[in-house]
Amino acid sequence: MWNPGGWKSLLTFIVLALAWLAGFSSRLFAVIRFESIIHEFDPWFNYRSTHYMVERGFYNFLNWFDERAWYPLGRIVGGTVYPGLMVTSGAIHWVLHALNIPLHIRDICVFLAPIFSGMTALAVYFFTKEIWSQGAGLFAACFIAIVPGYISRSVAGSYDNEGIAIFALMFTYYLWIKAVKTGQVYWGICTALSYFYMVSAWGGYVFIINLIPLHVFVLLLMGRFSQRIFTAYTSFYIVGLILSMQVPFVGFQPIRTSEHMAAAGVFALLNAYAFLRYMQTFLSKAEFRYFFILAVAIAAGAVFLAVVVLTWAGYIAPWSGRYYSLWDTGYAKIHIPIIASVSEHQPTTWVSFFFDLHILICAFPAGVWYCIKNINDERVFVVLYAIFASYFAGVMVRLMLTLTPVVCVLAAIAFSKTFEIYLKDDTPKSQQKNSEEGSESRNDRLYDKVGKTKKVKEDKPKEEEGLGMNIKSIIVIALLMMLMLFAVHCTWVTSSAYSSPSIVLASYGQGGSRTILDDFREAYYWLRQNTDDKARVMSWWDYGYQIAGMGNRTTLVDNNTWNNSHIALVGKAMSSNESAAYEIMRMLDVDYVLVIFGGVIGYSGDDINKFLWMVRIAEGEHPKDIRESDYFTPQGEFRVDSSGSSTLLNCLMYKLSYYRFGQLQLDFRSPAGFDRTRGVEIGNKNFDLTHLEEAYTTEHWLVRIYRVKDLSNRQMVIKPKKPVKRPKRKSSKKVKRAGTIKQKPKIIKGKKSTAKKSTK
Amino acid sequence: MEALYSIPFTVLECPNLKLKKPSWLKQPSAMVVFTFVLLSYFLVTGGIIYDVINEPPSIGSTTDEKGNSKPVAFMPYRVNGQYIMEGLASSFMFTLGGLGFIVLDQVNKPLMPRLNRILLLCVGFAAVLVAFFMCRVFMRIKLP
Repeated sequence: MWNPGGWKSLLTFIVLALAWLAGFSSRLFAVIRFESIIHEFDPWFNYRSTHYMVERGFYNFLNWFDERAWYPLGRIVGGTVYPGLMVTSGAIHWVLHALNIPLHIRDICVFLAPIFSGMTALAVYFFTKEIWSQGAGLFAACFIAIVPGYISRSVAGSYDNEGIAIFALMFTYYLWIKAVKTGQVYWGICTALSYFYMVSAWGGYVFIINLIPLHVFVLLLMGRFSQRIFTAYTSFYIVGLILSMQVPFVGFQPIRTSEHMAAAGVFALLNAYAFLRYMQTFLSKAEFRYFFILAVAIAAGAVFLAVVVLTWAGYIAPWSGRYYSLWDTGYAKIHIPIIASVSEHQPTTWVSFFFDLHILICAFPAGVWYCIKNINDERVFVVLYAIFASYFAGVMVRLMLTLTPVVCVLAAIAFSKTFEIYLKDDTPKSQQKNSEEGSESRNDRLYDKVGKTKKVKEDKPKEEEGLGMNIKSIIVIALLMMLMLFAVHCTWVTSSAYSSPSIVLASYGQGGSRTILDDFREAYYWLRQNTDDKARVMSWWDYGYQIAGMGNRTTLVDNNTWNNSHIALVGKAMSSNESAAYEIMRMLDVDYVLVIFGGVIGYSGDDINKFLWMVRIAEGEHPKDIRESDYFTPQGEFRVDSSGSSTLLNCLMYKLSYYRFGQLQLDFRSPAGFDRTRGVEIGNKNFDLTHLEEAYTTEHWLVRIYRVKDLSNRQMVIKPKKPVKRPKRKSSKKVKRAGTIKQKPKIIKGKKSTAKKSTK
Repeated sequence: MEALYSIPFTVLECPNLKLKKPSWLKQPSAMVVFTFVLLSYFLVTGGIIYDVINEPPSIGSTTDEKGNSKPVAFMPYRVNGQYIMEGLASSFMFTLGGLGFIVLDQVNKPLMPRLNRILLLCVGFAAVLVAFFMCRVFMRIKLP
């Protein structure tokens, strides 16, 4: 029995299931190559807090004060974290355990992002289906499942907020489109609920709460106001606002910060507009014109004044720096070095666009064109989303993630439309214009209408002959080849660029043999086993979460960079000389210092390469003590070899990185103390540490841990010795003075101060 | 209502102003909007924001083994760095690809002579292919 509807839905189901499967399995490279392990930096914190929540319960998690981070300040984790991620994996853990499936929470955390990528594919499918058609939806689902721009944040093991947030984002947008289309309160409330999930999962929810009001605003400007939009937006805004304030970290921000004011303003504007429309039914046309102008002026003035006064009075916080830097692109570079220092906050180059999106980046403008050509309420939304997301993606590499779904949607529209034209158009074409007489002969037995239409319309048979089925099939095949190359590219990028856990490094020998460099875990395990439980470890903030997660030791600063001055203090300690650093370290109660050094194996992401940022951040808070220009050569270069500046060659970070490195000869072609990352022989080889001692260095020297010595009796001992030594020194000085002729006239002239200055 | 409006005009005299909405201020047509979108897309994908912030040179130069300096269009082996010209060149390719897809759609307009149709088809198809493969070549240069 032939049931086209049934076949269609079966096919849809199969395609979506395959997309899910392909998306899931292409994210497993890291697990197969290495092991089921949490990646990178932030995921370690998420994993640690998920673990805490599963063990102690949700309310204890919300009240958790973590005294092991940000020593001596501590961190209120429950109030400074988006709990959606932990709750999601905790809920999965709970359900599985209720079914007696004993899965460790770590495995859930590792595989959460790949599973959610399948959900994202579904959400994108529904979204595109609402925007355009089912076929485009299937294309979009397949694209989003394998596109590298999204895989980069959702490989197995990268247990981060973005993994689930993109699903929440696309699902919220789908529900919003549904709400705009139907104008039912039901869908508006659903949008608000999904928005709540998004708020609890990721700080990027600000994107939603600004894009949806913008959509409404543009619809108003275009004169497309309708009852549906009014219902959808008011129900969404009120419920969404209240729900979003339930997340502890967000709290009262939705009514107090400038980022959220656009939504409130549009809400007021929409209500004013609706009210005017209502008044219009009572008033005559002339009266209404006056009334309209007056009311609009008053309303706009009142809203503007209210916002200005409230901001001035301090009830509304001004734009936060992170948000401000999106618009004024130079802002972060000048004012907030800590934001500019993060590599994922760098502006995007063209390679990233092509690398992450490949062919889709070419099809994207065509999709925009289709949407603009056949505009309606929901396509306005897609176009706005496309414009803003592409701008934001240009500002920060990280925001490529929000661009990726809309690129998939629009590219899917372009491809679907193109294939529609070139693949299956022989029926509609022959109905309309009777084209392709020659090529149809094979196909026309399937369609019984063809015979009739041929006779009816024979206006221009000559003109249409050129686009025969042959040419069309060539184009279709070429496009299919491109899509195949896209799939190949995606898999290649995933396997080569985005699937390294970054805490386990692998290097490949000439014969294809693989060496695993497990230095990070070696060092953290050493910390865990050999140091006191309360020991404080100082490191640059990148490694804070890992030390806490794997080493289980107290850290001074970590990846939650909320306290700039604390970080600047650590940066100052790292960039000043040893005795000055010792004072800071005593002040901060540091027991161990951990540095990452890649000079032996040529690992480029080490602390020396990050060092300039430490200097810059320290300079921002302590401009008197630290100056960035001191660390450059007179030519303005940053070098660690013998021509490097002496401040650099004597600062703590340099000494800790290169301690005893001058004695190490890696191979016979290079001299001792040859740094492979920088490719130079280091400048200052022979030095000793006075206030620190080496505690542990891993196999490949990747992680070096130093113990900060306690205040010893040495200073007490040194002082009594001094008078004993003095006569010796005097005698030696005399000998020197007798030998040098140049000094003599100076001494004779008798100015002690000048003489002192010159000797110094 | 009328009395309320006329209160200020008992003292003031209405100036004889002819204020009109300026003729250029109207809702832009779809194609104008699309042009703007495409233009901004061209600039953003070319990494204009990167250029503004990091101020790279328009093209780079290297010194070859004889000591002559020669220009280099692409910053090789660096994914997160670029010169201005290479960004513009590749974003031109992106845009060309997009236009190719649009041209491929335009081919199917009714009432178009056969020759134009074939020419357009060739142009659109070539644009897509050229854009795609040029981008691949460019990326090959950049990747280590």
